[in-house]
Parts: sequence; structure tokens; C-alpha cells
Amino acid sequence: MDFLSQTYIAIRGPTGAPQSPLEAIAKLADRLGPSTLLSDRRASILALKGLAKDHKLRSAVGDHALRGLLDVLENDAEVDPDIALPVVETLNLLCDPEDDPSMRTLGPKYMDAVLENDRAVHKLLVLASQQAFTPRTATLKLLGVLLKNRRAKTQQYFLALPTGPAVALAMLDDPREMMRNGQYTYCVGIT
Amino acid sequence: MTFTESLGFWELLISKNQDIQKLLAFQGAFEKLFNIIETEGGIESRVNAESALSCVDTLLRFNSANQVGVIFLLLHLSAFTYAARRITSARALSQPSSSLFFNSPRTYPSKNLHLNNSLFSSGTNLKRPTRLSW
Repeated sequence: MDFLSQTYIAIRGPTGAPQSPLEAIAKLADRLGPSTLLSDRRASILALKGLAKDHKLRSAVGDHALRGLLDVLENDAEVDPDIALPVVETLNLLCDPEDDPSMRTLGPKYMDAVLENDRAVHKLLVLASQQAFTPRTATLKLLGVLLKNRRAKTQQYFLALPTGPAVALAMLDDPREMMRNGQYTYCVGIT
Repeated sequence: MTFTESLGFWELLISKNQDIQKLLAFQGAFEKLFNIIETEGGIESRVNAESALSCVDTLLRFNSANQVGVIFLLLHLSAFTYAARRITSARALSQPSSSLFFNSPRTYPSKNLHLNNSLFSSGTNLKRPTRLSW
């Protein structure tokens, strides 16, 4: 018992003071590095998404974790839909300037960071063409925010992607076909 | 639901960029947009058909290449529908005669009548057509 409590104290830290949100955000942002496990990254992104919903902490999340979020979007989002949805939703919270009055100055700053190079937009377009339902909606929302506020740059990146037109045209295919494909997936899942 | 958002994304994507408008139009955007209007219930539909029409409008406005392209597309479509109508009308013309004589149940009594009459009576040429038409 003594051993357990000592280990707990060692892990908790010497002071034992409750963790502040800023420390938590910094730790969670460190966890987004590519060296950690995929499940760790997923857990930390879910935690960051929860923290970003708080208006006061949103700027801290953006300042500390935006780089890591973009890395995860570029490396993991395509292979793992469970990680794609929270990443895109967190970026949505950070970038949308109409969501909250405090985001009118911060939103454009984060948008510029997202549009720093074409990789993020290309990855978002690839995600938007995938069949999974919920990430697609969130991705289209984020692309809409980017197009509304930084139109010329996003369109330039769209033109630079060779599969861009095919992706855009695939969005206009029969929605019932898409629903049917989703239903097939569910049927396979429940049998 | 996603479809509505896709059209919203399209409206933003093609606005004020002629390169994207041309690129998408020549890869079949008009067909897809007209297809959406048709499947969504035409002019009586609410959101999606309106967004699709607004996309068509954006693709055409101030873009002479697309305007020429859509004229060719409409000519092609009208030629196709004209040909299809010709084929169906030709079928409609050829089918009633065959169905009247071979498939329709109405033909059997008249045929029988005609046979009976020809068996019983001498079967003059004047009477046959009237009985056939009955």
C-alpha cells in the first residue's frame, strides 16, 4: 500500500496541486506528436476538442495544439475515421469566426495557419470525398468556412490538386446511392 | 443532408473563379446539376434544386466558354430526346396493330365471329370488314 501511494505521489508530482487547464492543454498538445500511439493521439484530440468548446480556453488550445492538430490531419485522418472527425471538428471550432465574438480576431489567425501550405486543404478534400457520413459533413463545413473567408487561396489550392475536380463531382452523385452504401455498411456491421 | 452541404460548398467553390468553373463544367458538372434538379422533383423542390440552379447560374454568368458549352450540351440532349421520342412513337405505331390482331383479348371474339360466319354463311366481302372492326 505504501509502495502504491509513493508511486502515485511520484506520478502526480511533488506539489500535488491540481492541474491547471493551460498545463493540461500543453501536455495534451505534446501527446499529438507522431511518436505516441494512435490511441493516445485519439484520446488527446478528444480531450482538446472538449477544452476548445470552452470560449476562454479556445485561444490556448489554438496556440499550443494547432500545429499538432494539422500534423494529425495530414498523417492519420485518412486511415482512421475515428480520429478524422474530432480533428476536423476541433479545427472547425478554432477557425469559424462567426461562432463567437472572441473568435473574430483569432479565427482568421488560425485560418492563415491552416492555409499556410496546401497539404491541409488537400487532405480535407480527400476526406470530403470519402463515403463516411459524419466526417464528410464536418469537413464540408470547414471547407465552407475556409472558402468564405479565404476564397482565393483555397481555390488556388483546389486547382493545384490533380484529383480536385473528380472529388468535387463525386459530391454531386446520387445521395440515395450514398445512403444505400451507408446502409450496406450498417448491414455488414450488424450481421 | 450531406447533399445540401455539398451544394453549399459548390456554390462557394465556383464563385468568382473562371478556371474552376471551366474545369468543372467540362468534366460533366452541368449533367450532374440537371440530374439533381430532376431527381429532387424539379421546380417544386425546395432547397437542393434551388442550390443546384444557383450553381448552374454561377457556372454560366460571365463565362463565355461555359455558355457555348451548355448550348452544345442542350442541343445534344434535345437531339437525344427527339430520337428517343421518334423511337417510342414508331413503337407505339407498330404495336397497336400487332396487339389488336394477336395479343389483345378483344381480337379473339371477332376472330371467332369471323370464323363462325365464314363457316356458317357464304362470307361475302362486304360483311367481313364490319365484323372484324366490331
